[in-house]
Order: sequence, then structure tokens, then C-alpha cells
Amino acid sequence: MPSVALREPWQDLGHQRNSAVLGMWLFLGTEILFFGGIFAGYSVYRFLHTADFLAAGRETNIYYGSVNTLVLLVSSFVMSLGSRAARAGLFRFARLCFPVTAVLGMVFLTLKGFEYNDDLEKHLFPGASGFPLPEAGAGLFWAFYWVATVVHTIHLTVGIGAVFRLQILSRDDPQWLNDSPSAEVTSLYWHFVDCIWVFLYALIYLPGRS
Amino acid sequence: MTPEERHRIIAIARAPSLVLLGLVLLFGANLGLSFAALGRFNLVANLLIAAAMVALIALFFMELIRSSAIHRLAAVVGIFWLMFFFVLGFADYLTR
Repeated sequence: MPSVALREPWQDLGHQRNSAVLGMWLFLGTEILFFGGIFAGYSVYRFLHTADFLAAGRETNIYYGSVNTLVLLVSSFVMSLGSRAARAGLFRFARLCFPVTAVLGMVFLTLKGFEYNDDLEKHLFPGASGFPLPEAGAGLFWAFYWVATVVHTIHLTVGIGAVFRLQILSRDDPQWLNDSPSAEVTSLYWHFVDCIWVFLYALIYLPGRS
Repeated sequence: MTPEERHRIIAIARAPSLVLLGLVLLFGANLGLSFAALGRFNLVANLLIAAAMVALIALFFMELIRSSAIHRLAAVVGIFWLMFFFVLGFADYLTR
């Protein structure tokens, strides 16, 4: 009897897995261009307003940013373990890794929420009354900060949902984790969101510290 | 958990653990270097270290190191187009 994980139009699980992984990589290619637009805009404006961007970068909260970076790196490690365990047939361990990954994602979102609150209390929102930075380019930096981190947060939220999906769909049939490409594909998406944050951390939190 | 399961978990965790260690060390280096007065080379150092971290994640966590050629090609295509994007974008601003 064919596995319940096998979907139309594929005839075997191996072909389905290869196609799903290829599809995810192509999707991530579009995501690279999507975030690339934001990064390109940032780069041009930083080139035009270098000193202003350094002054604005100093106002970001490096403690929240650094802790959140570590949280995401550990979450990627745990997700990697989960994906490998699913492939190796270690389903109990895989089903332990996925919720830990999702919880780490939620820790990130919680800390980000506290950070946003902190930023708003300091009026670090471009265009709002009381924006404390006089430099012309500082508003551009903070516009980038809000757009990029909110878009990243939305991606992470989708990732948390996708990880919980693995947990729910494998509840009655753990073998599904091995048959279906879902664990591998979800893992790719999760790591990609982590990669975006690694660059955001370097561009948002580290400028202007020296 | 049986001893055999434990043994297999340790085996699959070995490589990702080393990668995590590398990532944390690179993260520390990036944070530390950002406080060093390197002038414009701060940005270069920060981006190079971030790129090294992303390379570790892509190669080992996303397992590009053991992927098929078609998957590697699809992964590189996005970066290839991004390069065009940046080169053409900056060709304007750098030559004004």
C-alpha cells in the first residue's frame, strides 16, 4: 500500500522528496530577492548617509539583538537535529526537537516584542513626534529597521506554524515524518529565516559601536 | 530511550554540534569586532563574518554539502540574481 505521504502527481516518495526540496530552494531564491530589495535599499542609503546610519545604529538595543541572535542559532541547531532524526527514523527524538524549535522561535518573538516596546518608549519610530535623532539619514535607518524586522518576524511566525504542523501531522503516524518531505522542507525554511537574521543583526545592531 | 537510540542520536548530533560551536564563536567575533575602531573595515568585517555564518548554516544545517547538483544549483541561483541586483544598483550610485 502506498504511503499516505505520497501525493499527486508523484509515483514514489524519493521523486516527491527531490521535487519538494527543489521547490523550496526555488521559493527561497525568490525570498532572497525579496529581502535583497530591502538590503539593496539599505546599502544605497547607508552609502549616501554613512555617518547618520552609524549614529542611528548606536540607538538599537544590542542586548536584545544579541540574545535573539543566539536564540535563533540554537533554534536552527535543534531544527537540524529534528530533521536528521526524522530521516534516521528516530521519531520520538524528532518530535521532541520540533516543539523545542518552535518554543525558541516564540522566545525570539517575545524578546522582540519587549524590544519594540522599548523602541517605542524612546520614540524611535521615523515620522513620529519626538523622534530623537536629528541626523537626516537616521529616519531612513529606522524605517529600514522597522520594515526589515517586522517582515522577518512575519516569516518567523509562519515558520513556527510550519513546525507545529509537523508535530500535529505526525501525532498518530510518526513514520509520516520520514515518508513526507515536510520535515526537510520546513527545516530549509527555518534555516533561511535564521540566515536573514544573521545579516540583519550585522546591519542593524552592529553599526556605530566602535 | 534504548542505548542503541541514544547512540544513534549522539551520532547524528555530532556534526550539528560542531557547527553550532562555530556559529557561536563567529557571532562572538562579530560582536567583539564591532567595538574595535576599524573605521570602514568594521562593516567589511561584520559582513564577512555574517557571510561565513550563513555559509555554515547553508552547508551543514541546510545540508547543501550533501545535496544533489540540481538542489545546489537552485540554491546558488538566488545569490547569482542578487549579485546582479547589487552590481546594477550600485553601478548607478557609485558612478554619479
